[in-house]
Amino acid sequence: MPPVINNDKCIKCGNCVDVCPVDVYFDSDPDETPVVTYGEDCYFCASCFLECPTEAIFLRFPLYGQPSYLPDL
Amino acid sequence: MQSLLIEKLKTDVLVIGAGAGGMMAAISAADHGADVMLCEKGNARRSGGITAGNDHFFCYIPEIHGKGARESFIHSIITDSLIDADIACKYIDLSYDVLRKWESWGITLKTDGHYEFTGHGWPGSSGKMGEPGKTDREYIHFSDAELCPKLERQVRQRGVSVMNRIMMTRLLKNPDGAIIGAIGISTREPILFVIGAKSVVLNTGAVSGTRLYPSTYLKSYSMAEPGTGDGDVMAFKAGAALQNAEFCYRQTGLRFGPWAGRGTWVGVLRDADGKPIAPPYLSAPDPEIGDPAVENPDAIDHVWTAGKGPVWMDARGISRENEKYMRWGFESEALQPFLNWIDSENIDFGTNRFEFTVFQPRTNIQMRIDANFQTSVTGLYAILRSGISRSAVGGLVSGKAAALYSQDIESPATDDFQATIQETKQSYEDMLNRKGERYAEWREAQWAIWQIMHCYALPPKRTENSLMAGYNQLLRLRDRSHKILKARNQHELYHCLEVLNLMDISELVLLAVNERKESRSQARRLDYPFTNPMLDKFLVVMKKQGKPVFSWESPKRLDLSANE
Repeated sequence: MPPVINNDKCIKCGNCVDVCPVDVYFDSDPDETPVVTYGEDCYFCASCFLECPTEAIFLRFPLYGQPSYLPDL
Repeated sequence: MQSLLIEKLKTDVLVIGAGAGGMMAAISAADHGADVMLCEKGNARRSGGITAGNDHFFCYIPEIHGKGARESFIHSIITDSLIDADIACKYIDLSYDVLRKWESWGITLKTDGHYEFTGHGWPGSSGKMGEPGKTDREYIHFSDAELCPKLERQVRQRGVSVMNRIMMTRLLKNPDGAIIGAIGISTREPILFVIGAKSVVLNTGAVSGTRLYPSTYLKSYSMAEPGTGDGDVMAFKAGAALQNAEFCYRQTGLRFGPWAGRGTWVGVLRDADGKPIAPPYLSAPDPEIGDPAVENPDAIDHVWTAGKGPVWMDARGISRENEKYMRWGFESEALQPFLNWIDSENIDFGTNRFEFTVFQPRTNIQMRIDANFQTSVTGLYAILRSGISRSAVGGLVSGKAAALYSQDIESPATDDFQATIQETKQSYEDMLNRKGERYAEWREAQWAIWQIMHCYALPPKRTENSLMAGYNQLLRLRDRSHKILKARNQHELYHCLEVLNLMDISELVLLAVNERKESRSQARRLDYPFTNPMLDKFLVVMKKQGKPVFSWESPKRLDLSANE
């Protein structure tokens, strides 16, 4: 589901867990890489993405969230 | 058995909901000497409509627009929607005060040293450089993704008590009918908060369209967007008057994708044959105005009905400079992930068009307020959601009004409300202690709300019969939900309370749409397809003897004879 955290880049600062408006990372351990408990509730506000000091978060567009586009032939 | 611990707190001004409005209210109240507590369901640092910044700030700047332009600003707000003229004037006259305060707090509103008025404009309008006397556009285009944390810093510097992860659920009033505080829950720990306050400012924002209606393409992006009308429901239950439930806003944006930034696209909306879909029928992208057709959901509907869909946002042929400009605008609207997606998929704006659609209707339900943003309940203030500039003005005014009002008020006595507190606590503990499959999770209820609103209340296919079918189904749903909703933890409890609020909102929307027997703006219905000038009024609803009761009130008009 949307937030994908790179374990190698994550410094366990907990910023993402603190700021998510809908607590997608609910119940994460403060000393571990956060877990995405309620990923289906992510609405792409990008708060965690902006607060991460090491750019460890990638917001994956789920399969039902791929913008539709029309390429030139 | 799960049980909740009661934590009692006290303050002068309790602000419920952060974002631009709530944080400005907290700042304003503190600046006027009040002890302030700000409660936010998420985290104030990234809250409301400004989580990742925001791209356009509505502002009247006398030195740039000229004194004569004030009237046209007022007219543009008033002709847009039913609004009291004195509130419209506040929005206009105080927008520049907000702008200057924000700049003094390090928020970047200028571009290359000037105010840039681009986007949300029409051909023939001017103002890219914000030159005095040469600018008639109303929105400053800016990019500051740190807007929200910068406001939060100002809040904290003033000693405001910032309480995150708290959902306030019920207001308390004394026997004289004045506010004395509120009850709420932690969204993480098993705590029930009882907060004594001399006044309350509500900034819980608009009800998200995505919480009342499912997306038109099977699954919504998220089931949990935070706008669930918590403040509107609390105010209604406390006896405050609400209005505009029957109106809605239909936003447009990327199909299947993130929806923000429609005014930031430098492109033209075209149908499948390549024709621009709506006035001004641009022939080419214009970085100074964007495409006003993005504000025309009816045009997108029409294209599909006429068999000319889909509708494509066409930015092909824009220069590299204009693409850079567009990307800069996107950054301030949480669209960096979209830009990352485009780049990683090797999709470029030069050879691809992006589908635009209309999203779920967002009800305009709001509290009825006076020019001090006070509701009809003494000590209760409310900020109406209508863009960041207007929310901020609402905060500036209501925070000051609440602080001054609180000066003469005695310390609130919440201990007199033991029965209410215990009853509320018990009902929440009941939900926490229901176990097993005979009980329902909150998501079942969210789906049920979506079904009812989609099947019976989706504009324009509404009639009295469909609305009443929806209403009856809703009453059954609500009754059953109160008996069988379960929550495994505080997080699920907060979602259960949200969906119960959404049911109360849905009831008011269904009844209000039915009550307004005409079609006006986006409040459309098939059985009354015309506008009735006799209904140039607010439809006001209040709780009387436990039931919603409707009445009509004329908006305050502009007094053109008055001197400024």
